[in-house]
Amino acid sequence: MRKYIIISFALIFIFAGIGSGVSLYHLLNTTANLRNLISLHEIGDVRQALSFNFQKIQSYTFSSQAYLTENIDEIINNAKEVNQTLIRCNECHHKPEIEAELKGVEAMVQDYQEQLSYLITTVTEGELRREQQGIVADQSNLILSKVQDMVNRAASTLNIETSNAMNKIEGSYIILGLTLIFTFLAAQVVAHFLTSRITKPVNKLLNAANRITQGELGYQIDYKGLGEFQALISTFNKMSASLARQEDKIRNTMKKLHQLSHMSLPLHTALNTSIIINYLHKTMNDLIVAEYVGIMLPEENDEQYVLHLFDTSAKNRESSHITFSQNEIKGVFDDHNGEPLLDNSMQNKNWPFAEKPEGVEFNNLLLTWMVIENNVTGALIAINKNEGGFNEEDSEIVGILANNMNVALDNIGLFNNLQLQMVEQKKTQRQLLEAEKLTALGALAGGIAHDFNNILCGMIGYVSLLKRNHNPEDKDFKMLDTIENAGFRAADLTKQLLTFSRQEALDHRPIEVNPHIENIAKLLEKTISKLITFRLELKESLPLLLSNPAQLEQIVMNLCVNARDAMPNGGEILVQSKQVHVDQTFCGQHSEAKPGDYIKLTVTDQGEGIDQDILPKIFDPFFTTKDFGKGTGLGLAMVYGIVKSHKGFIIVASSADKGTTFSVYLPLAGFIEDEEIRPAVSDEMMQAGILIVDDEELVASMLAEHLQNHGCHTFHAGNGEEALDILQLHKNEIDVVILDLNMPVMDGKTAYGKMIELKPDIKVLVASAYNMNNSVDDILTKGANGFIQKPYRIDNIVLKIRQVLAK
Amino acid sequence: MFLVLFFQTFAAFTSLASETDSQRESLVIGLLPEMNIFKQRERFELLAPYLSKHLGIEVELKMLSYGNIIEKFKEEEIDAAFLGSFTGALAISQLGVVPLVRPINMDNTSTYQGYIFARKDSNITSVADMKGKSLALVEKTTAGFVFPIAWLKRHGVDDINTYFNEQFISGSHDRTISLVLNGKANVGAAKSTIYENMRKWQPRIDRELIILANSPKVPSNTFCVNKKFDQQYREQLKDLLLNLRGDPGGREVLKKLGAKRFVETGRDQYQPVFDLAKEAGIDLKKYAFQSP
Repeated sequence: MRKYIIISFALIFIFAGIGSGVSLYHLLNTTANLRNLISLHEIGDVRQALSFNFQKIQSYTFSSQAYLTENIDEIINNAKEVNQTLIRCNECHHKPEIEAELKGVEAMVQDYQEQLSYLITTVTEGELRREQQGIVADQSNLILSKVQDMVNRAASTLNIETSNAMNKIEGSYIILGLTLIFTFLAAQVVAHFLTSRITKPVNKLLNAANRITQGELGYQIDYKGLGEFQALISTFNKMSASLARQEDKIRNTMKKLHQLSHMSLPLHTALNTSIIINYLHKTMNDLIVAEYVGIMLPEENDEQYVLHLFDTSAKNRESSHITFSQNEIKGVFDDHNGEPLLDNSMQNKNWPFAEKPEGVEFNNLLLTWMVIENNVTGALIAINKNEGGFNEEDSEIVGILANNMNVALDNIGLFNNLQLQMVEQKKTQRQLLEAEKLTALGALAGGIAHDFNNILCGMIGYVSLLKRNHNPEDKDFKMLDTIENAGFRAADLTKQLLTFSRQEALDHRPIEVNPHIENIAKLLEKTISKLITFRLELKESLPLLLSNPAQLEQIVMNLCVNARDAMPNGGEILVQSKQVHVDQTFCGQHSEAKPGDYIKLTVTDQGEGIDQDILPKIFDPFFTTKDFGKGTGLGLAMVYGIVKSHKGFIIVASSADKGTTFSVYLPLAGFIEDEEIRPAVSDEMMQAGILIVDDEELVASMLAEHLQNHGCHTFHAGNGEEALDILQLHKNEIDVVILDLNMPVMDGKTAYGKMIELKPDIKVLVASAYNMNNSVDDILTKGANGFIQKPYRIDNIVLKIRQVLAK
Repeated sequence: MFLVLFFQTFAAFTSLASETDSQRESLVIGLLPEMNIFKQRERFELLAPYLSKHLGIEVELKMLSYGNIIEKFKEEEIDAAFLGSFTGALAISQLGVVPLVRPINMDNTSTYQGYIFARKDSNITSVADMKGKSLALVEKTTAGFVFPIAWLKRHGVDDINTYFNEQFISGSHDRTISLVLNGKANVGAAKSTIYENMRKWQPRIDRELIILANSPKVPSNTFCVNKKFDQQYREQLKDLLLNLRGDPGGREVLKKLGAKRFVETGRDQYQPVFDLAKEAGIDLKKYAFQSP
């Protein structure tokens, strides 16, 4: 095509060139003639210049010799102008006849100048001078005549030449016009020819491009023609075929990816690795047709990897196993920088691991690593692809599968973790539920115990007073004594309830743990069956525990009694004590635990164990598995309450036929000095003014009567406000205030603060049925002088008043 | 101290102003019509711009006649001139002009002679044959005037006005030669260099004329300057003309002049002219031209 284009444009150029050449030739001819014409016009100027200068010289010719001499330079200049004019004229004319004529004129001028010089230098006047003047004048006229003749002939020639020039110009116009028309026509023909030759293959290309755009990949153009277009269309056909092949390849890859996507879905719901391993057999065989496929996974301890290798031709889906060390796997992984191993020329060589699969003849191998955060977690292996070996696409497909398997394995781990956490959560929820239940029960029990204690306090007090009026030998005395004892038994019962509800007000002080355990053990050894043996493992030099000795012994007693009852056929009761530290990990496993140092008391039996169903209920008050009348159901509830009042916790571990272990954790406080024991006051000092603040009329009247019997002067207030009013009025008469806490209008705790303001040195003895919200502890901390638990023996309260007065 | 400084400064400015006044703005060089005035003028065409370029002043050429040369010098209309030997001797004697240099001709001569010649067909071969004939002289020139008078006196002709029937006084040597050649005069006297030059393009001269006598050699046209001419420029002019050969432009000037170079010329080299004038009875100090 290029040849045709070059030839076509060359033809156009030749046509244009010939036309331009002819036009140029005519133009040059015409302009040359025009130059001649202009020259011919200039000859008139020459004549005028010559005439002017000759006339100037002529004006000197007939003057005196002196005048001539004086103006000799002017004459020379005029003559020089004549010469210059002729030189200019001569430069323009190149026709021989005109040049000859001009040379003739020049010669005439030379002669003229010579004669003129003679005239100028002729000193002698006379005929000779006049003759010379005539010669000069004649010569100048002759020159002018000659020039005029030339001018006339030039004018004639000018007319002819002008006419010829005009004719030639018109001819040039025609030639130029014809050239343009012919060149235009030639260009049209060439353009049509080239356009038809170019557009045909271009249209075919356009059509083919549209068909390919519409999806007809591989479309081939049928064209035979010019070389460049033939080559272009041939290349286009190759490109179209290549696109079709690429699309097929992409479709195949997409199909595999689609398969992979579908096949991967079950992986993501797999709950254990065995499902994944079994699934591998079908999955990989669908993606890559190979003789063997396998997956390498770490064992549970991560120190070994196991290759599960399947023979895809085998009917059963059993896999062979090869175990590799973790170091070997990591070594191979590092040697290959984590890149897949793709080897199509193995022939039993290059197997990267020490141990080879038995019975496998290697032709080619594809190994793709499973990696999480640069740590190898396994590998997928395909051996002996049937057609042509493995390629990069296989590597990428298996890589994607490996990633999916990795995710599935990770999901399994997460699922297992989640299950464990859910079990823990359920356990914690159950513990919280139990704690809330026990708290509610405690509140209920405390309320009942408070009212009971107030009733019992009045009842026991009056019985005690009645007993004083009777002889111990009297029948009434014995009956009163029985009533009093029944009252105290009822008081014990309410005390246990208060202990469970942690509303028993007891003084805690630093005590040694082990002596109290040994006391209880000695007591129990004497009372329980000989089939049961006691074993103590007590850690020596334990730190002091801030506690109450009675409560500590009650814990050990109740747990040991339960252990005894759990072993009707005998066994061993092991009691242990030691100091432990509870950390966050331990707290994570036991919701009630808090970090810190504890004294751990453990009581272990070898009984039947506690049924898991009833384990959550064992600390409920009045819950018992014992026969009716053998247990109150308050033993473990008391233990729970005591431990909670120490801000400790209990862990129970029990299994069927192996026994039960109760572990009690009591927190260690900082070192506390033993409370100073102050001496009691003597009987003579009981002449005191005592304000009894209690809303229970029965208790207040009983106490007032009793204290009056001991010589005291008593006042009574039913609530805090009344107490403040009486104290204000009898500030100097009142020495001791016996203050109840739970009262209407103004409670005891509020009233205490205001009493201190009224009389800072006032002695206050707190008497309360229970320690609601630790109010007893709070008021003692603020400076109250003593506490006595309701119901109390009237002798005990007198003793307490004496101690308070002594402080 | 300040007064001393003031006067010194003033004196320096005064001195500078004086030097500035003496600066010349132009130089006018006179030429004598020893030949066709147009050709004569053409010979010196290149000299004026050459000198102007090297001296830094305007240089003008002025064609003179033999009659007004002394007057022009006197009136200081010209500063310098190429003078013939007689006009040179006159100007030296009367005005004290200073000869500087003269050209060496292409034939290595720097002098010329005076020729006395006649037409061959006039049969004049001696002074006696000249009696009653016509005589053509060149005004105020050694070769064309002083020499023939002296020569005629030497041969017994004391008064040419009575010895010759007619006299023609020409203003140029070529005109005199032309007068004899064309039969207007029987005997003529002219400068040898002009005569020899005309021979080259006028074959008739050899065919029709015969040289009867020649004078001793006298210096050819010498470049003389007015005695008032600045010493500075005088020396510069002299150096420039003596060294024309060493410069391409200078060589073009020499070629146009028809000279090989210039040589230094002094007053003593005019002695032959003084002698001839004396022999001719011309008192150079008092001589005055009759013609303009």
